[in-house]
Amino acid sequence: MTTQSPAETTPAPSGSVSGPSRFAQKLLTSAQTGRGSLIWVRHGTLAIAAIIVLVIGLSSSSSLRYGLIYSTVYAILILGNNAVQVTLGEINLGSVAFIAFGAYSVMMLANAGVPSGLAVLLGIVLTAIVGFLLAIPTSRLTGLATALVTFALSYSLRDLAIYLSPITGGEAGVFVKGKLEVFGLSGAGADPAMLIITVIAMVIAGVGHIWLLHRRPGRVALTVGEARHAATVFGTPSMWVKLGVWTWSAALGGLAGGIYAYSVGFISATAWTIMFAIFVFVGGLIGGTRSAVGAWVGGILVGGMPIWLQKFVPPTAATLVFGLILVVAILAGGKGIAQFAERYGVRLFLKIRGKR
Amino acid sequence: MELLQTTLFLGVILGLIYALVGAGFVVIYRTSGYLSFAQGDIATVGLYVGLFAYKAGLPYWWTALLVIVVCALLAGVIGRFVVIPLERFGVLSAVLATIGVALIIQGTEALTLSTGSQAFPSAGTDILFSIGQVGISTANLISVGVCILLFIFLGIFFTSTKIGMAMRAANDNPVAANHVGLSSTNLKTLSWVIAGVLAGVTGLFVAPIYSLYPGSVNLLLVYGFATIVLGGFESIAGALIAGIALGVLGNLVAAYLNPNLVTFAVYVIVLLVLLFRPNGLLGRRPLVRV
Repeated sequence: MTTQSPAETTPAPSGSVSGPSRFAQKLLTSAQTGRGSLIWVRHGTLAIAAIIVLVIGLSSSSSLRYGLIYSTVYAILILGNNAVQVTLGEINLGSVAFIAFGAYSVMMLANAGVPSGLAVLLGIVLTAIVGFLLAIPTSRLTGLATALVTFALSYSLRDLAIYLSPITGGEAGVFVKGKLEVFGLSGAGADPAMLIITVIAMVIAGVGHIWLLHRRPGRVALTVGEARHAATVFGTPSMWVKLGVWTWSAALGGLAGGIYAYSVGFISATAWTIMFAIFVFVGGLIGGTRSAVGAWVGGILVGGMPIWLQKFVPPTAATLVFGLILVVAILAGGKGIAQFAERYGVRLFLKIRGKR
Repeated sequence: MELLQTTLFLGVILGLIYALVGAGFVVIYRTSGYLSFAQGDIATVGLYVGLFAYKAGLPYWWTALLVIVVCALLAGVIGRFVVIPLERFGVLSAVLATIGVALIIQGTEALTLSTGSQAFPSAGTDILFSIGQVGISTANLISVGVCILLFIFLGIFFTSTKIGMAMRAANDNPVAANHVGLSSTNLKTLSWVIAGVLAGVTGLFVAPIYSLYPGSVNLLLVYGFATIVLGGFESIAGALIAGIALGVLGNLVAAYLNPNLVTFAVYVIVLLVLLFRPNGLLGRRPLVRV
């Protein structure tokens, strides 16, 4: 499972172990836990991933570029979903609610004439507030109960959006006016500028994810997730920490929703299905829940692959691959591609270093 | 008044089907301690096999039997060879494995079958008699009768038979169960087979109403989850009462408020019950020896 035991998050004992092997231990522990010494390597791989996505996206057809934008939107949402999963150890199947709320907020603000950058910013804030309010009851639940409640929330979303069709446009949907103008760039749909904006947003979200996980907020949240009662005994306000994690998750959902609104350009209730939420969850598991690059890998698999493969197989057939990868990921310990790559990368590095 | 009468009556019929979905979850939960998200997709596989056989000329009742057998076998195989072995990674991993299996089945169906809706035969559309404004068809009557019989069977099975009690013991105290010679793997596999039978029967009632397409039976998953949350994760009687309550409540919301608010009402019910009665309205709080 993705929840790590306290033993895994505790640094390896140094004791009598001398220099090089202590260094090796630190690296291996970091690769194992997704935290610790490899923080700068993680920043570096995130930067490399961003460059690769930009190079491929800017030098390719608009359909491939659109797939990459869409995948990156998924990746931002996955990052938010992973925050709940990796720190609190809960199965959140309700991420679609956050992206939907973010997308609708931005659509309404943009269509009312609010400047696009401000609309996205307000969208993030509003979604974070909604996430906070939803988290007040949800964060009191644990385990299967969280999964069932968030499943029911995602399931009801499409019908709710149809019910609120005077505001949301229902199944017929509403177009989003204008282009997203931030960082001196202006883009929409599959524009190259839209890809650059989306990648910058992902990098900011990824750096935030890495920072939060490696620093005090992450440590506190992990403690609450792994031993809530112990954390409370030591003075940690567990409920506020949980609310904070859910709010952060919702804020990233709002960001993903804002970019979704401008990249897709059309928001319809038919988009908000339970499968959307399940794909986000599966993408996180496949990529690796503790890794920002892993979220991107997961996003490309669950967001981009169905678009790129639809010429050959129905988009829904991609679920076969996701299902197989999910079962294999659980068999491999549920830590995902990124952590798998980190572990073997560290071992390879140590082997080469040892030979020298 | 007529609207209320019709709403209540149809709500009870629908509620019995929700109860059946919930009972499928309860059977696995009682033995293994988790829920299966693959129930709806297991039913769909059985229904597709049944539909092919029916189109090839197999009579309806043999088709129904074939659907149930295929669902039972498939569920048994999935439980025995995929999900139960993955329990060693924890209960949540087992739940995730059921999501994985559901995705594999949906993807395979999308790849190999038509993704469009197909009409599925029912047990009979003739109106036998009317209660108020509601005409009762052969299919309605059979679904009510079969649901009641299945609930009586499950109630007796889990409370009065040795194997039923052994299945509960396998989850309550797996170590003690193993010490007295019970094979928890076999008992869990049996629970999957029974859940498969229930999935097949549910599919036979649902497919003629919603027609058949990949994932069509999944429409009822959320109602099944709500049923067991409301009735208690381990209570067969709770599933029956909660299913009927949910069916009636859903129909009242659809009739008097808006049909698009039904699923949101289900979400609110699930949330409130889990917050204030986490063991369900009829479930019992587990006793822990201290």
